[in-house]
Amino acid sequence: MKEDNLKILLAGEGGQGVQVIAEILNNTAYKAGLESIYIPNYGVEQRGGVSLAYLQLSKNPIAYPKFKIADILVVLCERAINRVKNYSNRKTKIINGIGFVEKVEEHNLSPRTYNMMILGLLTEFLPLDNGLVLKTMEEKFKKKNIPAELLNQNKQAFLLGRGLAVRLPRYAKKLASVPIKDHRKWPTFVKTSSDKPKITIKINPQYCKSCGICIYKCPTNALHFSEKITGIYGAPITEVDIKKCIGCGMCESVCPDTAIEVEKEKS
Amino acid sequence: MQTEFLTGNEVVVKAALSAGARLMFGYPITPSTEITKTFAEEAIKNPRLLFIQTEDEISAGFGVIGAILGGKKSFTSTAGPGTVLMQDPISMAEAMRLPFVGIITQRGGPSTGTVIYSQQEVNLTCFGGNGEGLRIVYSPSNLQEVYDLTIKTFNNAWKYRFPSFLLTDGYLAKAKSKVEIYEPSYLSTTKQILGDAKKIVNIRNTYSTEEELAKILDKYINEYEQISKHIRDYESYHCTDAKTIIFAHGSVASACRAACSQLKRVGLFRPITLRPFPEYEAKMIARRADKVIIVESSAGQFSRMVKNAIFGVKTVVLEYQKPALGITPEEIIGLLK
Amino acid sequence: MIPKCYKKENLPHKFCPGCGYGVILKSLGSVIDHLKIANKSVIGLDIGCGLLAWNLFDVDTIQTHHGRTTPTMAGFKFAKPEAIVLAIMGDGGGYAIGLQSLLHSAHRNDPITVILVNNTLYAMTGGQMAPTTLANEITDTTPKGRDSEKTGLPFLGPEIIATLTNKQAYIARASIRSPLQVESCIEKAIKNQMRGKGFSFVEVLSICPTNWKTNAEESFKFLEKMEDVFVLGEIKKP
Repeated sequence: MKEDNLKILLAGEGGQGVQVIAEILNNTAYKAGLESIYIPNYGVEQRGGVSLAYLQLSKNPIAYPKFKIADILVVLCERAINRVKNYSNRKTKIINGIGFVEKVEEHNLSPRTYNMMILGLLTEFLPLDNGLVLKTMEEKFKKKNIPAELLNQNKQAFLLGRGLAVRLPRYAKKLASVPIKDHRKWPTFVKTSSDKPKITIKINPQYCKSCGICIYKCPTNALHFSEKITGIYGAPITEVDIKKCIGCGMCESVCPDTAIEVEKEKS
Repeated sequence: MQTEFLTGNEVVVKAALSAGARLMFGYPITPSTEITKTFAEEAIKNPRLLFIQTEDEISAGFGVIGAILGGKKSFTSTAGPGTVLMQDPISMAEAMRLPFVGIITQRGGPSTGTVIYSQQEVNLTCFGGNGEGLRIVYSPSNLQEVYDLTIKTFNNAWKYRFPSFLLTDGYLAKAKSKVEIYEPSYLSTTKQILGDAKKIVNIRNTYSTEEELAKILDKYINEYEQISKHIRDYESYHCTDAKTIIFAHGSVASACRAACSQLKRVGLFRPITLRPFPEYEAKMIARRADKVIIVESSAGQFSRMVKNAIFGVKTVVLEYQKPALGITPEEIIGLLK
Repeated sequence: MIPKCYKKENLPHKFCPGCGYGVILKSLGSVIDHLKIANKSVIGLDIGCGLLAWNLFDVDTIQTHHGRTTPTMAGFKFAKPEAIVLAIMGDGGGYAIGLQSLLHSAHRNDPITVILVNNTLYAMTGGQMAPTTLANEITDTTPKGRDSEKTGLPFLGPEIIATLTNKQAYIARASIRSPLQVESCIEKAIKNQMRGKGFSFVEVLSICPTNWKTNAEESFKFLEKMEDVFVLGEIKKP
């Protein structure tokens, strides 16, 4: 190891899985006989806040779990940028994971495997054995009873991440140069039926968190998850097959996030 | 102004009413109970007053907070184990800068201890809770000061918006004597904090990041330091040419004052406010003396505050500690002769 | 529809995907809109996931301490009897740490409205047993399922509170399966307070997909199971 104390800061959206990445790396380091320490740092919200993970790997005992400047900074969402930009200096390697979000989907992997792709990518920069990291990941997921198919996808995502690491310089932009998307400007998706009475469904991706309650509650199976469009948490939003819609308003009434509106013309 | 013959607990109620208190929330605990009883009697006579007997001290404290949010001067009284439970609401008042007023009548501790007397609730009243002790604490030494300082406690709570306390003890609570009752020349105004139709407010006490909370704390601590100079108060008695200075507070200070009047070149320095502590004055007086003696009915709760204030002063420091026991003037005279 | 009394600039709110709180707060929002009481109401939020609603409403709100919302809001009502005072809490805040205050507030017949969200566990801390946890339900602190022999049966709040209150109280249990029912019960509870009657209390059965680790369908299946134990309906009306 070049530095005697390698400081890694991971930052992402709550629920994106930065803590899992750090936990796996920390456990791997322990197995490999290195000194390591990891602390999570997040607020009261389980989702919707920025989640930080401070991880340190060293040959010597580590004094304190938090640090001021990271050697490697991994950012997984736009919102995290403001939170963590002060943790970097000119020497900090910045891995901007935001640019990789689509990669998992391009390879037909579940969006939930995104963090494991980042794990694969990050491992390439660490003094840890790839095989051991993968093994630790498997152990962790098996303990949690993750279905075999999803575990397999996570492994694939990990390998995909390793491959991407080779091309990393292209992605390792300076943080400031990453444009922050303004969620409030996302367009609302509107569909109107051609038959009478006219039914209009409006779905707002800036509010939709992909919980799927509307899809489950729809009496005519007119709703489904979008294959292309993602919402506020980067997960697929609901789409409507307007031909099947009867305008009952069930989806609107059960939506916890006020993301869907139904208008039905009076006949 | 008129002279009345009252117990300390009755004096508290007189003063609270003079200071504009409208609601009291309380749970009976000796030696504070007569405060609740007397206020409840007053509330029967005066429809503008309300007394609520709650299920415990926690609820009493949060009831006070609710009423304060509604813009009414309100308070509670408690002692001993009740002061322990009261830290829950007090820490919220500290976090939200609410003008919480508490009357603490110290009893013997730890635990249920005695119902009689002590000076063992100094730590809890000044620094209890999971915060930084941003509180105003008055320690009266006699019944007249119970009246005067209760009014000050209410005024400063609403003026500076820090939780404020009158720290009495079982002796001061139960003792009956002559007191001058008067209309205060100044009363702080109240402000409705929540539920004012003119402005929507969302008040939080939970923060998402270390930095967010630290910023608020820095601001509050800074403000507390700024206002300290207007609040901190002390009494010095026979200090001018004294070789020995006694440091004492509360009713113990009265015993020490009496002793000083009979001893030569012995003076008394008595913080009237324990929070904020008159640190500068304490240091100046301690520096001039040959010897400092810190006297208290506790095993060092007050002494730690004094030693912290006079840190760096070379004067010899002695301690006389009688946890949960009264200290008489004769005792002090015997000690110093 | 987004309630008029929501602060739209603070949407999306901070609750997890699929959290039942979204439905309950939306229902409360519609009632506040319908009764036109946004500037007369004050909402107290207990500690628990409910505190995330602190900046959601264009209505006065305050976060209190865990279990202490009932006495705080009762205190406020005593000082400002003309205000419409609401206390929102979870099953841990209301039935465990704050039970003493909840029961005594009901017993004194304090004229406030309490909305208690029952999702059978402590959600904010990651899913531990609550008084309402179903028999055999797995949580962090009941890894083999809740053993009712040793830890008791699910706590029936409204039924217990009904025995303590006088005839002026309104007490009901609703489920987010029917948002309209939630809205109707909340409206009646608030009207009870506005009419100057007594204590009003609505327990709302809710879902917690994050801690239950369920998808939409599984969440609602579990809600059905809850409804077998916690019977819906108006338990007491004046």
